[in-house]
Amino acid sequence: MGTQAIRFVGYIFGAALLGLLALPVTSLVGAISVQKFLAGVYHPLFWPAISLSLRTTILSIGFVVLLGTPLAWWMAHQTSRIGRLTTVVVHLPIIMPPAVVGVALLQAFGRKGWFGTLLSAQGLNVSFTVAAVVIAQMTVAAPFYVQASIQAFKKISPDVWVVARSLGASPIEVFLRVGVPMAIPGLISGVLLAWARALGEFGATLVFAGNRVGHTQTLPLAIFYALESDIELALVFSLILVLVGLVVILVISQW
Amino acid sequence: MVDTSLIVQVQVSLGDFMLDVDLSISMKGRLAVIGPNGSGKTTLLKTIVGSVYPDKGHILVGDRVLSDTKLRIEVPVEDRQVGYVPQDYTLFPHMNVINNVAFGLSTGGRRGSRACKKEIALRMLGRFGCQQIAYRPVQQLSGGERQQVALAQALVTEPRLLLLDEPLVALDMTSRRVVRLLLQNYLSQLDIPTVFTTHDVRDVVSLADSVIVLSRGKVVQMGTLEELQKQPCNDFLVEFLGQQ
Repeated sequence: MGTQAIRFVGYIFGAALLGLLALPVTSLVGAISVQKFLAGVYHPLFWPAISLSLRTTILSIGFVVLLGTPLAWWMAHQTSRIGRLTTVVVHLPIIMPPAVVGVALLQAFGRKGWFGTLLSAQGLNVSFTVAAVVIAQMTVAAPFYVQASIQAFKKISPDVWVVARSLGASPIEVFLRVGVPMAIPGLISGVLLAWARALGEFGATLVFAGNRVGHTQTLPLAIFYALESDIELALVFSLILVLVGLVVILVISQW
Repeated sequence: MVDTSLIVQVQVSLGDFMLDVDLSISMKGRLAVIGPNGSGKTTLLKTIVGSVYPDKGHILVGDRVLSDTKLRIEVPVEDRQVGYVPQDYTLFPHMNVINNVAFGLSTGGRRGSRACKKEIALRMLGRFGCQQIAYRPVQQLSGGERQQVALAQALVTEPRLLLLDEPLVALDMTSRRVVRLLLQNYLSQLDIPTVFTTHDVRDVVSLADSVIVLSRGKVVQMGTLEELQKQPCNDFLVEFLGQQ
């Protein structure tokens, strides 16, 4: 086969995959008129769901950044066995099906779970509450943020740390005054990726937090709920989630 | 009593590589460390600055112990008071020139107003003739300017020892000649010992008063340039001196 033929086949393969990725979204857009869209936006399910989604994702990503940035910094400088083990643990939620994450969270934080028993003794109940929504989102989104942050920290030359410390900066000062500011573009990409993942989180939330309208029903859960009774409403909600995702991708591509 | 200001007697193992060095230089001494790639020049500087730990031995600057494996002393990098300028004149890209230079004045809880620190940083930049670039982003600096800012940054904290890793390697030939002259001038005014690595005999001629030759982590020859020229110990040194 000649070079041109190989290139042609390559184009065909590429176009086929591109079509597979773009077709569902385009069909979603094509199926919704402006009237239907507006009707969806004013539906009583929409605002509680989107509002809960936004509030919980802001909270969960805030926690992920707070806890994940120092962890990523540490992991970026680790070559030991403990470092490798930590990488496996951090990446676990990516390879676990979301429903399995939900079951595992129930097992850990549910009333009869390992940690949940301790919480119950203190009169605290996590599962099927807004806290469960946040924990589920944190669990599935954290790997994306931590991974992006590790890459951002790794890009910085080790000489930078040595110079900063030779100028009298303690390891914490190096982290806060040099590491974080230099890694900012990568950290922001990580935040957006993790946020998009948290916003779209469905399986773990359904299992661990339930689908209680006005309580734990996020937008993806509202789509699931609407699918059973009003397919057009589900389409509108889906389109809104896609649009939010698109904005995130556009912002990331600017960094 | 010998006026010795830096004593390094260390063994460092990094995988298969072993650095085994025993050297000392005087108060205002300027020591050039030469040797082929992989001979341990940068590892030596990193051991002195404290980012690489020795397996055995000690490092003293004046009467201060920076590292002593017998006494289990390993002073952290930030407390060593050792100025370090790496090959690529590492500057912090999120700060402008003056903030880069003033960085060392605000670390470790050092006191003083921000204005005062900037004033000191400006004065230091003035010593290098760089006051006019004080508010420029570091991305806009030429190689020579970067080197001078990196030196000002390292010296502003008044270190007790200065380490320069191939101070001119990142410059083109023309700037290298100019910056070498400037560096010669700065280093001769310093009251602290300087250790620098180089691959260029012209740097040794202009900047050093003594030289050590490293080969596979060991010091194979030391002395003044003239002494080395009389009896070069290996092919690398013959070739190195031949650059003249």
